[in-house]
Amino acid sequence: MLKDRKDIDAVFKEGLEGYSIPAPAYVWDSIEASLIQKNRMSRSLIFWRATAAACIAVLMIVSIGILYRSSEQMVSEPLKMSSLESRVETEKGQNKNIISNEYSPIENEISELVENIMVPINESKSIYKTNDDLRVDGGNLQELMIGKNNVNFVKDYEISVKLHSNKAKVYYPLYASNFKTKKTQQATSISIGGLLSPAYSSKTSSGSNVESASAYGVQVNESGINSLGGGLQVRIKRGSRWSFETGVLYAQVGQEVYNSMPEYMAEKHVFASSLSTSNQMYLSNSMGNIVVNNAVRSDFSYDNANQLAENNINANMPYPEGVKQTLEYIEIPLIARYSLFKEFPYLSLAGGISSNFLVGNNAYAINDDSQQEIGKTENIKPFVISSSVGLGIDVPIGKVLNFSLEPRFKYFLNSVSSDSDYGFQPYSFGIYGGITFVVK
Amino acid sequence: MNELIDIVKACQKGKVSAQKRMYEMFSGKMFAVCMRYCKDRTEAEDALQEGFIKVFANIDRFRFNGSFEGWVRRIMINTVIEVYRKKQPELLVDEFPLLTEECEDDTYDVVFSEQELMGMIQELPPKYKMVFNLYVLEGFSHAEIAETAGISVGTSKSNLARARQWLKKSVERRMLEKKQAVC
Repeated sequence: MLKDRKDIDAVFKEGLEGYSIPAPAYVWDSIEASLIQKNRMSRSLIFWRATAAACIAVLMIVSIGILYRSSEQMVSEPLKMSSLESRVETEKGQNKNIISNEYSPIENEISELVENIMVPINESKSIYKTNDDLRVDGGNLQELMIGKNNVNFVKDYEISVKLHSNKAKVYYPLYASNFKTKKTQQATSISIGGLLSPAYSSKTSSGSNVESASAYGVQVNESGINSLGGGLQVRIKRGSRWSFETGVLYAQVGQEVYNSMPEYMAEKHVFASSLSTSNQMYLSNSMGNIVVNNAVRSDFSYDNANQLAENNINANMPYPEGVKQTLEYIEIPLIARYSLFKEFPYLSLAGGISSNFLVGNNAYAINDDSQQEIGKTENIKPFVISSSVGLGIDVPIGKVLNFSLEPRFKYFLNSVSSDSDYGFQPYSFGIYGGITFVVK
Repeated sequence: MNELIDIVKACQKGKVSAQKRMYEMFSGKMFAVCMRYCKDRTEAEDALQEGFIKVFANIDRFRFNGSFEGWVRRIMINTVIEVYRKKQPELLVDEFPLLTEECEDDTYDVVFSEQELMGMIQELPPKYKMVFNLYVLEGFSHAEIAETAGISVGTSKSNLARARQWLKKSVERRMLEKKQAVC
């Protein structure tokens, strides 16, 4: 209550100082209910954060494992050559005990094979022949065995391996742009961040020469490959539950091919020949013919191959047991994302299409635990469209930091081959994980 | 004072009993604050609820550097202004400032109850009410009002002048009614 003379401001300021109006009881009830719900959400958030942290750890371990394995395969090649020689030397000693004198020519041929087993990469005329070719050209088998003398193939091979190692080492650093920490009230938010995506890639196929190969008794075994991709992603979110994403991603698809021959055919020497007149590998597969850049090895005779198999000393031979065909793409996705639950905005369904620009096309000869680039698959389109769908989990780690994890299925809408005989449409299943920063 | 510190610390740990105790301590004053800004009791109750939820959600940020009541009051005011933004955005639209001559010499010696004063404030048009409350009762400067409410300093000054004129008329009218009642 006021009794002194005061100006209008003082009348109200002093008159209402400390004024209190009892609030209705149900207001507290509503507040309490809201707090309980928030506590539950908070516990749920802790669970998701722990899950996210575990997934990050798993992703990193898997990614490092894949990268380390790829690098190790390339770098270890020269060592394998020396170990191969010692292995064969050992086997040669064993053979002396096992094989009687009538097999001594084989021993000599083994020694010759080891010394001439590789052809330098600049021998571009080297090509591959099928089993049937070798059988028909039986007269040339001795010539095949001679290989290339007077060439320091180990040195050339090491150079080749170094080149390929440099080529194979691809790093996918997480990208984080500068961002402002000042909280903004704008309805539109923009997030930017990096993704890593270990993936398994396989394909659907039609046509190809696989059927004709089967007719000749060649069993074609094709399987998917594991790969590692990743890149930069930008997400634009309006105030609603919808958001849109784009970015630049690296992705790899492909397959591994193993051709099994009938028993009457020679063991495993289907890929390499130094004397053929073509530079195409007639390996039966559903992606396309492989154009060979450099030979893996000179071949050896039908009889010797069988003998090597019998004595089990061909396990470490550097001739290819299979071929891996890979296609590398720079992918520019356009993805729409919808939060499934308004009360739980961390779970979302994503779908969209991607433009895929071919940046790499390689074929590798595969041995037990290593691979060497030998060429590329022909008639591959430079651009294809793919579609994808995924279920994303997006967990805020801080005010401007989010962890995202999304199992995503991707399917190429058209064949990667421009040859109408090959209908090769890859698909992949990957776990896309990464960190995004809210920049606006 | 120590009791309040203990309650705040308990609230920072998420104890519901402490939250209830804090609500009991401040809800009356904060409800009065909300009533001064909002158009009716229902809107004030909503603002009070939302404001306290924000208080408990952000109580970790209170570092015991200043008045806790002032900190809670500021959250309530921000909450009320958010309500303005959502429900009556036209009230915050800037307009050409109309500077009005003020007579600083007017003084009053009449006695008004708190309910009467509240009634006069609630009769103010919303945009005058907000500026008058912020400037006179909360002690904001015009620059702070401009930043908080998203209006220009000129508009703030103009609205304050109009609010004062409005209230002076209300006060004089009620004074006259009181004198007539005495006679």
